[in-house]
Amino acid sequence: MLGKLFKHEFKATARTQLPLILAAIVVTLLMIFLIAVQQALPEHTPIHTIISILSGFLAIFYILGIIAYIFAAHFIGVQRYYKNLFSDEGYLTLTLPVKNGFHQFVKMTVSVFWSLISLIVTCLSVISIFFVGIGEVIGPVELWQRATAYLPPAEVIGMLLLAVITVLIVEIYFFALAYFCIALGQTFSQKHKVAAAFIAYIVITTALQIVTLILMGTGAVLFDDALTRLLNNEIPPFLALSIFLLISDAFSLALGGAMFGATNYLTHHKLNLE
Amino acid sequence: MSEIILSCKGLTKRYGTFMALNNLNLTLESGRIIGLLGPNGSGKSTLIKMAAGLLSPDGGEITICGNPPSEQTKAIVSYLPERSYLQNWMKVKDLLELFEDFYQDFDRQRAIDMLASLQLPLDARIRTLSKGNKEKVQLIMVMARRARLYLLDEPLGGVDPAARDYILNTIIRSCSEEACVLLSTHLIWDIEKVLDEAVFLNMGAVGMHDTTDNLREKYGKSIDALFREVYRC
Repeated sequence: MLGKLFKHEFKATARTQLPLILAAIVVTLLMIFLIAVQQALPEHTPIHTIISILSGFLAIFYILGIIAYIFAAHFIGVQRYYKNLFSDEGYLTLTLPVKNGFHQFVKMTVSVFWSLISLIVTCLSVISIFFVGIGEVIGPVELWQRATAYLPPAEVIGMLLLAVITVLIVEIYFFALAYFCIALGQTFSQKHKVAAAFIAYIVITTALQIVTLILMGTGAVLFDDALTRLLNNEIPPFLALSIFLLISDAFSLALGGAMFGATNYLTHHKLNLE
Repeated sequence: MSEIILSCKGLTKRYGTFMALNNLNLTLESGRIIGLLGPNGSGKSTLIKMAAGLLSPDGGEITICGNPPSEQTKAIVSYLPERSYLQNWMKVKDLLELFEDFYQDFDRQRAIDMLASLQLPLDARIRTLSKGNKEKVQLIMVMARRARLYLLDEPLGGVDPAARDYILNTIIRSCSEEACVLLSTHLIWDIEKVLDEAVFLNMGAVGMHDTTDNLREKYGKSIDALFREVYRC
């Protein structure tokens, strides 16, 4: 049943996500083409000026478009969850012969997948435009050699791994929080589910920020000695950053897991489709 | 030999201070088509949703073929809500595929035959269908399953009179000796002829439950007339 849920979830979301990816690729190629043409043309000529102006406008459009694409990729995941479980579509979805928790798990996994794809596409887009812009295309091998010229290989690998893990956990946490707020919203308000979800989001994020500040303050007092050593460069910055990120990731993962469980409970026991 | 399909004992459901179901007791057996009748707010939809596994009771118990609502009972319960649950981006054939994937008792050929009878093309996108045709598609998907319990919440509401007879005949054909059909409706006059039993709900509890023949004989009037008298404003 899990496989079938994944199949239908990918089918439902691909129809909106794939065109966005295609649009991002097309805009990237257009930018690369214009930059390449601009570089090939002799300077201080009318055509060079026109191309430069066009590139400038397209650059603004590109930046806004990339931000909109990342936002849309995340929004689609949240909207799909709400519409498919808590609107009229829920009458079909929640009467399918699968455990309620499976719906959450599948939707979160698919949403995280498309969000990661949006980040990868964005990074590749920015990197490719950057390389064309500086007139130099660097392959992965040469990139690795340049990076390890400044930092030990273990640190480079560690940073990459930590970055990937952190991004993955941030995405999981984002959707766990969004789903939890939607579940809370429909529990407490029948007529204004979306507004109630927004209010829940504001209350929860404010509370979490306060808790985080308290924890950081407490941590600063408890680990005063380590902080002093860090500021005096006695602790390698990479090590300190790694420890901070690992603690933060563990906290986010635990909190995300708790919200996932709470959402599952609310969906099963406090469902309010009308 | 008939089997108990749906059993409710002391079933209670509250929405805040409002008692939607109030200590409801009901037993439905296989091989029967039962009408769930009552005024607005009497608890019909709440009972049906509970049997479908969409709501949890606040008290008492509800079982389908001896099991509380779960993914196992959802596999043998075919539920038609009052509202349209279709995803507008889908085509009719996408919906067929979804039902075929998740329900082992779904009869694809039967669904295709019913769609053809009501002139509903497989390639039609759901968003292009009229309200009445969407309801027909939904009803066909539900009735194409070989379920043990069919829960139909206002199955004829948005359907034209010509199609109602077809749908009523489909309901009769679907009710095998192993299955039970529970349908709630306000169109009692149209549906009375197919009902074996009638359950009258009032304020979340069962007021009357008997065969339609017994009720007609006892009160000397049709079920429709009896309903109007019992729930007279």
